[in-house]
Amino acid sequence: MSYAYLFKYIIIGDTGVGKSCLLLQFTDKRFQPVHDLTIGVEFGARMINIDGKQIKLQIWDTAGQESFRSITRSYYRGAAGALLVYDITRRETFNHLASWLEDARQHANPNMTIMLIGNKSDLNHRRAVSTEEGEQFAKEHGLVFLETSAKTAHNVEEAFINTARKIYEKIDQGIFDVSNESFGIKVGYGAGGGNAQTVRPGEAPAAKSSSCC
Amino acid sequence: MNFLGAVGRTARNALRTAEGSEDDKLVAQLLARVADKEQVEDRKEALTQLCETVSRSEQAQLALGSSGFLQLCAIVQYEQADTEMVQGSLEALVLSMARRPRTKGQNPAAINAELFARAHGNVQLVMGLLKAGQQMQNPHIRLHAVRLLAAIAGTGTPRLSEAILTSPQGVATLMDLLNDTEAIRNEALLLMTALATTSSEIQKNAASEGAFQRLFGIVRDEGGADGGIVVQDCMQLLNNLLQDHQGNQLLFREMGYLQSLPAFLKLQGTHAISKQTAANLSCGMLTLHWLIADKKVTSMDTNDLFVAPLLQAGCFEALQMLALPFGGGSPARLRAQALGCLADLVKMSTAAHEKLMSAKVVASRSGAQTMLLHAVLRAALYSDDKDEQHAALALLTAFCQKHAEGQEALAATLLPTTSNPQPGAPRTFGEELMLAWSGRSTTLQVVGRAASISTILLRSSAASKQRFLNLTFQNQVQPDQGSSQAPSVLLMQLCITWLAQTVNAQLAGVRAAPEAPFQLLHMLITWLLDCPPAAMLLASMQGAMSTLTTMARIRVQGKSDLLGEMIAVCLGQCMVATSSQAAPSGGSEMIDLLAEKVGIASYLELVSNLTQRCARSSAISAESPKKEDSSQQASVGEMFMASTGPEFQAAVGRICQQVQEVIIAAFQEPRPNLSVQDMDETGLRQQFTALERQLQQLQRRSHALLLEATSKANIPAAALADSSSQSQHARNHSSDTTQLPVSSKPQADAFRELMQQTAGISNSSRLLSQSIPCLMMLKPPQVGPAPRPDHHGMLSSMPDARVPQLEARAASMERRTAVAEAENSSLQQQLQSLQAQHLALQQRSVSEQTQLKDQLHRSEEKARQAQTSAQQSQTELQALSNAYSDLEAHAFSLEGQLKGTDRSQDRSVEEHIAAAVASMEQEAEETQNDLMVCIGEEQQKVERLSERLQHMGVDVDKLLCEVGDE
Ligand SMILES: Nc1nc2c(ncn2[C@@H]2O[C@H](COP(=O)(O)OP(=O)(O)OP(=O)(O)O)[C@@H](O)[C@H]2O)c(=O)[nH]1
Ligand SMILES: [Mg+2]
Repeated sequence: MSYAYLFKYIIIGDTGVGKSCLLLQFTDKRFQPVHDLTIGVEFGARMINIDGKQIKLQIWDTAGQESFRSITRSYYRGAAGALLVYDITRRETFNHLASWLEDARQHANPNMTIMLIGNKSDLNHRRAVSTEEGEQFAKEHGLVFLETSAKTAHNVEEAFINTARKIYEKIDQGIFDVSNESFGIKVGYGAGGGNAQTVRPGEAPAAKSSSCC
Repeated sequence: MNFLGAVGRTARNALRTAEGSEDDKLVAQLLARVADKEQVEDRKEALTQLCETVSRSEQAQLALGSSGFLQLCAIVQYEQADTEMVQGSLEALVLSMARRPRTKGQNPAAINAELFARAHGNVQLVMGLLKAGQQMQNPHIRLHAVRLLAAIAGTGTPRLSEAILTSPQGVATLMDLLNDTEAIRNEALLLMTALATTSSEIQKNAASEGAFQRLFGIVRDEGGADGGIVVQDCMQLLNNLLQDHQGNQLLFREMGYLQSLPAFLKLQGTHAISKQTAANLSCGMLTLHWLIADKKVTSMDTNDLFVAPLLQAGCFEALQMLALPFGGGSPARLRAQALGCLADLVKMSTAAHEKLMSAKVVASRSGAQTMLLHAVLRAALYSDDKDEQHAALALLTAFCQKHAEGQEALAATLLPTTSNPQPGAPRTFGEELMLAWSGRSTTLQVVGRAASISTILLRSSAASKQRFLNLTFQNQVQPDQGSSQAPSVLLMQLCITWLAQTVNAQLAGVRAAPEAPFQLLHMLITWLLDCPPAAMLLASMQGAMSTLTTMARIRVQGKSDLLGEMIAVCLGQCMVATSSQAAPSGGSEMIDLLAEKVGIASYLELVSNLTQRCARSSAISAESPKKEDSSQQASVGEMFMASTGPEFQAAVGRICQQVQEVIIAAFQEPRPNLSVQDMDETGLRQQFTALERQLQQLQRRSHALLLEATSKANIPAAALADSSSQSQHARNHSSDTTQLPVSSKPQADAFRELMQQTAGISNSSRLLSQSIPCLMMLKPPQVGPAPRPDHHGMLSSMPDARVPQLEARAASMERRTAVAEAENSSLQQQLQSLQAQHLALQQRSVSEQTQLKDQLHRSEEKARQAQTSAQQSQTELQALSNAYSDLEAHAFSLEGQLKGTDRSQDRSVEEHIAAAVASMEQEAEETQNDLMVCIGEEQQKVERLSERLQHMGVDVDKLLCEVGDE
């Protein structure tokens, strides 16, 4: 279970847009048809592979309900990536995007990669927001955009992995100081060269001594 | 109306003494001096004195809480330039929250913390001092700020965590303090430890802020388990983050920290463990416990997710070192904990079980190796530490319970001892256990423990039960005789001998091993369960039956208790086994023995008592599986029974049922040894047979009645025992009360009839036996059948043969009649107590009904009161809002007046007014909310009461109408 990098994600958006379902589809490859209102935040994790590098995603799924806003805000800090989700069948969830972005800009670090997601693409017949509108919003605000379905799993992998790829590119470009944890990135042993040195997770990478703790 | 001061004021009034009111005044004076900005030096002096006074006097502490917080907070907020004043103010605040060793109910620290934290701005103000941007702040101020929060958190108020969660980056700010200076870091650890217990959101938030990494980082820097108290604090916080928090446990695992735990627990070297290290390790093992056992939610596959990686990281080996007295030199408490963790692992995982099966350890100073299981056995047999002994036993139980092959393998090490035993210490598990049973230096306590361990080996294993039958002890000192030439003894015999000894010891008032007889009986019953050969062996063992029946009687004469009951079950097992075997007379012989020595009625009572006891204790253990220590009054026996587990208790229930069946059957079938075939032509024979039939019938009926009566008696008794709650019980209750009088009336009649019949029979039986000598005088032809020529040789011998037979029969009949009489009278007694019980039941139900009605009335009344006070508070709210407008107007005029004075003061006045108004508003709102909740609760109560009343057949709607009319 060694990893080269660990990325911290956060999933935000109005209640009922399918945030928890996206996470469940990504981690467990399941769909949950009943709305299980998230209380506060939930945690999920999965290992992915980018360019032969193992990357661990630590994902925080937040409650969309207004009353939990103050709790969920404390999870913005130290997130390297965010999935900002709306429901293509409910216009108001799209209209609220601006206020979610405002929140993110205020509480997250400015280099956080944000992926805009129009979810429930399987419900095309009830669509209330066109794909073009989504693309347009993303372009205006410098976000990446995808339409997904947590039900059919369409684009779900891509949503999480493309975000990771973006973050990975930023690291390559030296935008992040990876030793500073507030960027939501942690380096494992395998990060540097291509040599397959493994990390013993749980130990800070700097500690080379054998006696942990 | 001032809501804010209400709490403080009542508390103050309660404590007010002459000295107290002086301290009140003193605090007021000091606060006034602190407020006087003209006298710069005197302010500081006054603040110092204030701190002194508050730390000295509880009264001053309360006084500061109710009147000084606003002022002190204002200094912190607006006079930041004067670090001395800010620091002093914070110190005074910290002191006002300091906990005192208290004797009375009041807790000034909690009251003050509540007062402080409920004003939202206060916590934000203090948090502001700690924000990342304030790094340049005076470190003393930051330290005092953390201390203040820690003191508030220490009182357990939930308001602090609420306030922290709602302040942006609140938890993150506090977590950052773990990277601060050592002093601040240490305070922050304590603060987070306290906070984590009050809110699962804080637990989660702290974990998401990298708590695990930071904690293990500190632990590593401080030297791991050998580090100081900071390490303990870190592990304590870790525990509080993981306890009952599935999300955090998963995060802990996902982020790869499982491996860090075994590394932490691994003993470095073999030096003796210091107290601090022991405390650190103990915390670490507790963490382990949260991860592998005690899961409230079991949706996760604990084994795959947690146990397997832990084992892979060397968890088992680390624990094994901690569990043993040699090698690590860990203290008993730690060893017990390590054994407990091993048991957790073994229960969860086959891999751990295999490790335990094959693990070898250095277990003596000489460095010789033994099997780990052998070492655990030694702890279970000989440890002086109760916890360690229990934990070792629990580990052996875990080892045997889920894995039959492990149990088999252990039992296989038990071999009959040879006439020339190997010198030196026992080298196998079996040798060790055999030695405990019969060694020269063994004690009652050790024997009891050996019985417990044997029980584990016997449980549900036919092979073990068979193996134990053949275990013999040779050339060992017998408990009774000191001779070394004693013949070989069966384990079963040894058990009975020890049992007799332990019972005698108890009778003699020896307190040494109070559990031992129960442990021995537990073992015997387990052994005999589903193992007829064992029961047959015991039944046929010389003297065993009479020893057991005697002991059962010893207890019966006194107050019936568990010991007699368990012996009765053991005897019952023998009876069931013998009666179902080919030997036809076996069962009835035992019944005769019981009738003679204990009395059938008393015996059946013992058996049914135990059944009830089992039902009770399994109900208790289902309710609260881990509440052993709360039963302060429970006797050793009851505690023991609770520890035997539901499986055993169910088995006892089954045995009791079988026993009852066997007894009934025995009285229904005619006894073969009593029917004499060769006398069927005589009138005498007819007379006898008729009498015999009558007697048998009588006994059958009386036993049927007895069984019926006892089983009837059980239900109301149980209902009485737990009628304290639930409508379901209430239902049982009422149906019993209606049924019982109907069924017990005819019973009484039947008994009376029986008594008369018995008396009649016993009379005729006596007459009969008196007439036997006369019969003897009679000539053979007159008694017997007409002589037949071909039977000439028999003619003269027949009467002679018959008379002693007749005599014997008459005597036996007389005896049995006496028994029947005795039993009938005891039946009568039981019936009486049954009736008394029943009467009590009826009275209870009546009084309960009235009580319920009362309650209903009362809650109706309360609901009405609550409604009126809700209205009141609404008017109050109105008044408040009026007052608010007034205040606003007043504030305007004040503003005018204050023009030209110091700007900051001006602002603070405004702030004060706004704060006061806001808090008043909030208070009023809260009060109303409380009232609403109150009304809701009352309505719920009414609903629940109505439900119960309905079950009892009361027309609730009508009743409610009546109540409403009143
Ligand atoms: N048809 C369809 N339904 C979906 C999809 N994703 C989610 N849903 C449904 O939408 C509802 C809400 O999904 P959740 O994932 O629980 O919503 P959430 O965003 O986590 O909501 P909060 O936890 O309250 O913030 C559920 O009933 C899901 O079954 C999707 O892609 N297609
Ligand atoms: Mg959700």
